[in-house]
Amino acid sequence: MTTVATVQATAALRAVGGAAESGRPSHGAGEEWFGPGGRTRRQRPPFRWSRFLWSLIIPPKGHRILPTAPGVVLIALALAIGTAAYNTGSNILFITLSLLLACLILSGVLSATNFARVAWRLTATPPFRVGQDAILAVEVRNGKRVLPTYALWFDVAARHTEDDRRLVLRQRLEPGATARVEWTLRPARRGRETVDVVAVGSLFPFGFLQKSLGTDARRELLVWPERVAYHFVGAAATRRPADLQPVRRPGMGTDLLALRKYQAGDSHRLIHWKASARVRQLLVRQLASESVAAFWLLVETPAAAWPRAMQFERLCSLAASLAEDLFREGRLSGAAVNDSPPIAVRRVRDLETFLDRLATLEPRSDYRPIVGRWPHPATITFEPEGERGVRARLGSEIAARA
Amino acid sequence: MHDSVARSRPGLSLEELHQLKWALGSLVALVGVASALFFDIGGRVLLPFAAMAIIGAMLRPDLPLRVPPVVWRLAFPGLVAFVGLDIALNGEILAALVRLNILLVTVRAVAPRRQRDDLQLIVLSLFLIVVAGVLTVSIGFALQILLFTACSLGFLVAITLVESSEGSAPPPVGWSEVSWPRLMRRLLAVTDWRLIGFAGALFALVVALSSVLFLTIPRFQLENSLGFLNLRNKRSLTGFSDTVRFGDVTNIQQDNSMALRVEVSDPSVVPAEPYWRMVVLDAYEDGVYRASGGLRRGERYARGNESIVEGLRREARDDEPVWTFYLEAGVSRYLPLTGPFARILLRDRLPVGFLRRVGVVALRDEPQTMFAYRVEGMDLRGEFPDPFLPELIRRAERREVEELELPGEEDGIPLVRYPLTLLQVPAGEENRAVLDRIVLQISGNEAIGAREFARRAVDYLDTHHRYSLVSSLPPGDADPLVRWLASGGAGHCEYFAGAFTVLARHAGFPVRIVTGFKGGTWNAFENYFMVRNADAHAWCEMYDNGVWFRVDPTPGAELTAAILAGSTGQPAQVDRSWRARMDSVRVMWYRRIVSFDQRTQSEVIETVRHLTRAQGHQLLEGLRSAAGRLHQWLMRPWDFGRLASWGSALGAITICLWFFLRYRVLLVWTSTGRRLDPVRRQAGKWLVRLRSEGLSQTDDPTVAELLRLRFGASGSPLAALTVFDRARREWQGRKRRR
Repeated sequence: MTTVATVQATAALRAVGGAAESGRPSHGAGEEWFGPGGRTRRQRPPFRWSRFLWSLIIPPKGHRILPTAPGVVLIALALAIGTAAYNTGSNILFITLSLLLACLILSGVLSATNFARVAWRLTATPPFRVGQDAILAVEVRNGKRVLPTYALWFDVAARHTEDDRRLVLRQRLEPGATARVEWTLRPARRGRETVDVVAVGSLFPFGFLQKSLGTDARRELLVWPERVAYHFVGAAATRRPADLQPVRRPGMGTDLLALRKYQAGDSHRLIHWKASARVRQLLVRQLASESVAAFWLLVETPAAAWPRAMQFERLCSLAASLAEDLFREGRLSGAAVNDSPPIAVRRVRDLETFLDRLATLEPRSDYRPIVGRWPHPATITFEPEGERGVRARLGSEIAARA
Repeated sequence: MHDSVARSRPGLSLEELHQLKWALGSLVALVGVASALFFDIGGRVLLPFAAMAIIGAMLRPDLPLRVPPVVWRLAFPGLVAFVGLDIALNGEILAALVRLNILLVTVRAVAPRRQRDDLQLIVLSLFLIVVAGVLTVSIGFALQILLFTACSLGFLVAITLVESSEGSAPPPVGWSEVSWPRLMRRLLAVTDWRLIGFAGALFALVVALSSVLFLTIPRFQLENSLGFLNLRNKRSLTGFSDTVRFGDVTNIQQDNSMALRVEVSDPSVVPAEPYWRMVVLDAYEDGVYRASGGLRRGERYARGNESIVEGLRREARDDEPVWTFYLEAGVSRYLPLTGPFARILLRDRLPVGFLRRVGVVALRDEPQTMFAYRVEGMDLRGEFPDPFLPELIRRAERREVEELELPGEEDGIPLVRYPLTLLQVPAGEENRAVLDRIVLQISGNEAIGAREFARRAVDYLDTHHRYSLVSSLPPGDADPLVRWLASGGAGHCEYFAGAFTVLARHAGFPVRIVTGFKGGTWNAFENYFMVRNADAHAWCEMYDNGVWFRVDPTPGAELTAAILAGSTGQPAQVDRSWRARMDSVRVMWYRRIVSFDQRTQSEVIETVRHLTRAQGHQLLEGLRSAAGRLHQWLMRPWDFGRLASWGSALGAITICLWFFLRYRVLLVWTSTGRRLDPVRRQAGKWLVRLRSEGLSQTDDPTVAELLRLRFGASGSPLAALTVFDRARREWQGRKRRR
């Protein structure tokens, strides 16, 4: 049987910033606002004229001002008019030159005003999986009180996927408003992916100068293995042997599993009135599903066993796919990767932790497979099959092939 | 990929942005081609054509889109061929180039445009405006360049917004179907008037900034090597030249435009009706006055450009005024002067010649723009010393002097050499008989001097002839002037001056005719003297005892320079009209802007430095004085009564201040009503402060109270004060902990 399934339940944020190793969502650096409006007045360094004047001569790090084609024309025009003015002493030409220079200065002032109090941050909507589209977004807010911001663009780059592109904010950004520019990213490799907002720029107001600000808005994403189609082989994976562990999960059975807070959409029949009266808060009964037999997954990656990179990737993909499918069916007790502590999978978060580990999994030369020490009897293990294939084994029986 | 704006006002759609861009481009083009108004380049045909084409395309942008693209591609080569033909036929390069520029702007404004074409439109229009400004130095340039700047900046912003919205995609289909009333309504709907005010302030900033830049840009003039600025503008016409026919001066009088402006350092010295002499003419033949070659013998122009002309007088006295002249373009290449001078300083270095023999200064070429020069030590009496004239006349009569005429110059005219031209009278018996009769009548067969003859001749002309701008000559073969003298008819200044000349010469007195201006009015707004073309005049200079003196035989004029010399002081005529006001603006433009040079810049810097220093000294003195007074006040004995009164006053002020700070919310509340809602505003401020300290949870009681005050129902302001106090304590506590 071939199963190609998508995980609907994994809706939790998987984007992590600066702390991807933990495998937990990080709302710290990833949610930080960058740009001129990214820091509060208190966080900003005090204004100093010397710093301001130096910044006019030596732009801050990452700031670039490049003339565009119209800008080059303007500069050439100013040079020509200036030459003619000095050559002739004509004040008409000096007036024209002064106006051109004043327009250039005005362009700089308006450009600075356009960027003033603008802040942006990078947001990501998980999951990120090899070969599947994920939505990333740059949120931008205009902290000014009166003036809108026009014609911004964001140069974004996904390093490993080698996806560089320019996102354009087409509408004006009203004072106090927030906008969101989204794009889809299809990761090409499992593992850590770094997405950067490389620069934020604008041609506003006159298109003479292209001003761009460098930014540290960056997110590190963990990209899960690609989902693969696999075959369950024989009845090993579907039968319910006597030594398999029964599991109790929330479901629609008859046994009471727990009480929890009422949530919109819960059936009124499930409300536990007595308990609700006691705690003055609506509580509902959470029922247990029928007990089913469940498996453990054990992924072992000694380098000697997985010498081929492609085959190793297939291993990760098969383990991830199998874990998700078993979890969806409520038949996954836990999972373990090499000698790391086994994870008892009860919630989506546990599954995600396992997938995070798979995302960063590498063959280990110092690892020796567990022999006889593994306490869980119904454990699915993996081994190479041929030069490309991978098979999952339940005890002595082959459970699945990919 | 998509973007979304959480909160936004209505904005223009991409189609509307395209329409706005198109309209602004057309406005830029219109401002550009309006430069044709300053040129005489066939603008009567070209300008209406260009303007109509641009306006038509602006109103109906769908029409140009229907024209096959090949037509637009062929337009440029067609225009180049047209201009080549234009140059070949007319031979005027500048005019042809300007016409080409106008046509290019028109084509660019009418044809469908991409970004590159938009920029070309701006550059071409700017070029037109600058060329017009440089050639005409008109104040209209200032208005035009400001209008152009405003339009083109708006145009560039529109281009940027369209480009950023559209990217490399083609323009949206249907943008050219414009409903202008609808677009105007949409513009009004989406316009934020605060932004309009901001844009206006920015434009004012640009103007101010460019003014500062104009004043502070370092000035050093390289040698004038750009030939383009020396091209002649056809519009410049010659008013006074060295050949004058009957009616020439009168024609100039028909023109009431400004010809000359004069600033004087001491206005009290200006006579009631000053004579501004420009051209001196010695030869007369059959109704034509001209400067003979001998008279112009000294007319040599220096090879290099000069800025200083040394005059007949050795040095100007300290009490003599300095005169600054602003001569309009097209008046003459001869510089108006009242008499002998010590020195002339030209604003521009130009080839200039000084005809010492007659005291006339002339430029080699007629200036294309308003021309300025300063004169020091200028005499107002109108007398020119010429001690060698009798000897010259004597030698000429004995034919001892060399050929004075320029070869071949006077073909067809009986050759009379200078200075005998000063005694030349119409030949022929008929003429001589009439002149004999009149001269006998004037002199009464007495041997009288030149001045007495002048007085009697002027009386005679005044008695027998009437002044009129319309004159008619009786038919006959005699000289026109003799016929006029014999007829007793009316005439204008040229007839009177000419008649006096032939009479005096016939009586044996050397006389020459002078053309220029007489009189003028004071501008009431800028205090300078205005001379219009309508003040054009002709008069005479008569020789007597080594001196040429002025005689104006036209009825109503003063008689001689001697009389004029006693008549000083400002004339009664002061012009306070709107025309004078506008003219004063123009003079200010020329004085402050066009004539601004390195010297003026140094003067401005020096003035600013001086003012700053003076203000600084004044401020310092004021502070010192205040400190001294305070010291004296403090040093006075402090008895109990004084201490008590000042202490109670200070205490009262402190209490008032505290009350104001503590209960200012209440004050605002009671004085302004609910409209401003200061409690809500204050609550908003405290929410922001607490949020900056990391306290924003809605379950916090202080935050909840503040939220209620900010957004909930209105309550007592006194109760609000308690919440604000709590918020202050919370905020300060968090600050201390941090």
